[in-house]
This record gives sequence, structure tokens and C-alpha cells, in this order.
Amino acid sequence: MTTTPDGEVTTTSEETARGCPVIDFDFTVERPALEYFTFLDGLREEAPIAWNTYGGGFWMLNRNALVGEAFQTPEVFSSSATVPTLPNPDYHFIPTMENGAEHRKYRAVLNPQFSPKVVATLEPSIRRDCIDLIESLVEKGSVDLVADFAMVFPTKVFLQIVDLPAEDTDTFVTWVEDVFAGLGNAAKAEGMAAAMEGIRVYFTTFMEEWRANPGDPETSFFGRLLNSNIGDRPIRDDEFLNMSLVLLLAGLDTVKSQMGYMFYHLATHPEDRQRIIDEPEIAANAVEEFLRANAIVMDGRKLAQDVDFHGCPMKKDDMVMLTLAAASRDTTEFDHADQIDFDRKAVTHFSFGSGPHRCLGSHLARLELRVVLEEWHKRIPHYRLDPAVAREDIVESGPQLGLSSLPLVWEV
Amino acid sequence: MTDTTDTTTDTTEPDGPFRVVIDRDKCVGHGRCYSLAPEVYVDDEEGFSELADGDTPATPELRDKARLGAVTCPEGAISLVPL
Repeated sequence: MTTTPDGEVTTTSEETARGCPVIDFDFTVERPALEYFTFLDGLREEAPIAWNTYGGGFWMLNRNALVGEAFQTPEVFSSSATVPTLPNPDYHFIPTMENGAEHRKYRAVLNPQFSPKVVATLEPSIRRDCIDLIESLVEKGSVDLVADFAMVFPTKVFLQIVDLPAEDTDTFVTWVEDVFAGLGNAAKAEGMAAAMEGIRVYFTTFMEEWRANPGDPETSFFGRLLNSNIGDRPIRDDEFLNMSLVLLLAGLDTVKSQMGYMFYHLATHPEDRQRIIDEPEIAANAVEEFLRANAIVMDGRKLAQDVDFHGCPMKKDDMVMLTLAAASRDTTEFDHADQIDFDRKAVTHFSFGSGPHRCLGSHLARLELRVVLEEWHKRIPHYRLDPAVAREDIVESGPQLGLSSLPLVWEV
Repeated sequence: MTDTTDTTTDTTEPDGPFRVVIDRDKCVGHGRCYSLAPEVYVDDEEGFSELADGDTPATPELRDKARLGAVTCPEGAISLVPL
């Protein structure tokens, strides 16, 4: 038995059969900002594990310890499918959906490219991109933070890191938006397929040109990837195209969504914003709190075997949602768990996942978010939600949580 | 499977000598330890954690830093072990 955001209490006969609470909850509906988090807070307290009948049906793990256990038991909770509503996807992302020793071979190629040391060397140019973009907005006095900043900045950073031309920014933004709109949302599957094809053609062209006329691998990320070995053999064309797509998808939409929630909080909590202005040295810890309190990714796993998981009878091939947005606000794990507290000591969370699939771009994402906090508030310290827009018209939706838009205004 | 969240093991005496142990099979490179306590932890080329002083036992004044790295590790890969 549980309560939906509309206040309906749901109980079905399946509840008894499954031995765990059953809900029917659609993540793709737009709801006012933060309503999903509030709903999931309530669900976590009532149902540490629930069965959601939405889509094909999937388990939801809502407590931090349960999510951690699933992440860290990949031989049971496999990555062979990672979107809870898509148990048998018609794509196979590398390395996302690889498991075990094979997965490790791919990560060995990628990890050094996104290590903290490498990311740190990029900070000056990331900061320059950030400052340029903010300065192009200062005089406007109003902005849709999501469309005009949060979508654009991570794309510019990504293209720079992977040595692709900045003039392709708009093209990539559109493709990534279309793919994420289609993940777990059947109505938008066609746009997703078209965007994935566009990305495939782009990188096929790159590959053919590089093979015909190799450039300097020192100055080309994708050139280095094409030259790399997976284990003891050269990377195959299909692997290269696959990994290029995954890198693009993983690095852009997530940072955008996290940034949206960060600015929503700061626009509505002037006292916290003032602290960022007065004590910019707290930015790194503030980033951890934003990541914890508004975890956006709804990761999925597929059962590799039957398991009785804390009293719930899970079957091989069942899908499982690792409900990070509920887990990282777990009241049994954190004091005042639903509050953003920049002074929280030793912030821990699974917002970048855990176990072998830990987010490859986590060090880059942290850097981007911290630089944005530092540089934005030097130039636009005071801003608020646009009073002309009703609060309930600032909406979010999933399956990967994010605000559709965030209209901000400030004095010019 | 149990209901406990095993984050870290610290069985050391407050003033006693101890060693920091990183379980390299569990470390996946979150980088929290060496970001928050670079006096004790450093990163390797892939971003996995290593001890700054190798196998040298930790000095008591680094206890708080060592512990911070241990409690913030999402994998529970770091232990403080008494000598």
C-alpha cells in the first residue's frame, strides 16, 4: 500500500502475491519542481522495496543501504539492461551494459582519460568557457537557465575535452536531448532512433577520415580511442562507434539536470546563495550536497538469477530501479536528509553510482559544477525565479529527473 | 544478504598505532579519499586510490584524515587496522 503524488492509496492483490508493496507510478509525467523527490521520500519510508507496475513492471530499491548492496553485487544485479522499463533493449551500450572482466577491459582504456589528474589539467580552459558563457548572459537580466546555460556549458566542455569542433555544439545538444527524451518513453522512440543514427553517421565519418589520414593522437581524444586496445586486441569499428555514442550521452544531459536543481535551490534560498558569494571555498562541499539531495539518475539493473532480496522474491530477468533520488535522502542514513546543508560533514552518496560501473565522468562533473558555482556568483550574485512564471509551471519529469526549464531574473 | 550498511571498519584505539588498508578489489576510483585527505591518500593513473606513504604505518596525527577517507568511501574499501 502506498500513496501517489495525487494522494491515491494503491493496494492490489499482487501486493500479497509479491510480498512487497505494489505501486503504479509513471515517471514521465511533468510535475511541479521537486514533487518527485517529495513523493519518493514518502515512498521510501513506506516501502523500502516496492514493485512498480508501470511499463513492464520493475522493482524499486528505495533505501541507501539497499541501493549500495545492489550496486556492489553486480553478479546478481547485472548491467545487461540499465533502463528499468527496457528489460530487452535493442541497443547495447559499451561499457555501460558490459559486465565483469569484459567491462574492466573497456574501463581500463577510458579511466585514464577521465582521471582526476587529467581533469585537473583542463580546469583553466573549462573555467574560461564558463566565464565566457556567463558574461554573454549578464546583461540580459533574464535567462532560461536550463536551455541557455545548463545545456550549453557541459556540451562546450565535452567537445573541448574530446577535441571536437565547438561549432558542432548545437547539433550535439539536439541529438542528446532527443535520445534522452526517448529513453523509457515509447512515444518519443522515433526521435531517439533518428538522433542515434545522426551520432553514428558523425562518428563513422570521423573514423573513416582518421583512418585515411591519421592526425596527431595527442590532440585527438577519438583518435586515441581509435588507436587503443581492448585487452590484447585493437578496438573494433563497432566498439568505437558504440563508445563514442555512450560518452556523448553520459556526459551532457546529466550535468545539465544537476545544474538545473542547483540553481533552483539557490534561487529560492537566498541565505544559501549568500554563503556561496561570501565563502566560495565551500563550493566543493556544496556540490556534494546538491548531488546527494537531488540525485537525478534512476539507474536500472537486471536480475541475473532468482534472489530473495530482503524478503522480496525477485526472479531472474526482473528489472530493478535503484532509486537514487529516494536513497540519497534516506532518513536512516542522514540527519535532516531532505535539507541541503553546506556544512554537512563527510557527505557520502551514490549519485555517481557505485561498484565497477562508477560514473566515468564523475571527476569532470564535480569540476564543472564547482566552477559554475564559483564563476556565476562572482558575476550574477543575486537572482530569483521569474515572478511572471507561476511556480507550478516550473516542472520536472523523469525517468532521469530534470527541470524542463528554469526562468531566472536579476537586476541589470 | 543483510540489512546493515558496512561503510568502514575502524577497530583502532584512539591513541594506538594503526595501519590504513585499501581494498584494491573494492576501490572503483570515486576519489573521495584523496580529494578530502591528500595527506594520506593519492590517486594512480586510472584514479584509483593508493596510500601516500606506501606501507609505512600511519602516524597518529593523521588519524582523523585517514578516518575521513574511510567514512566517505562509497565502497567501504578503506579500513583502519590496529598494529
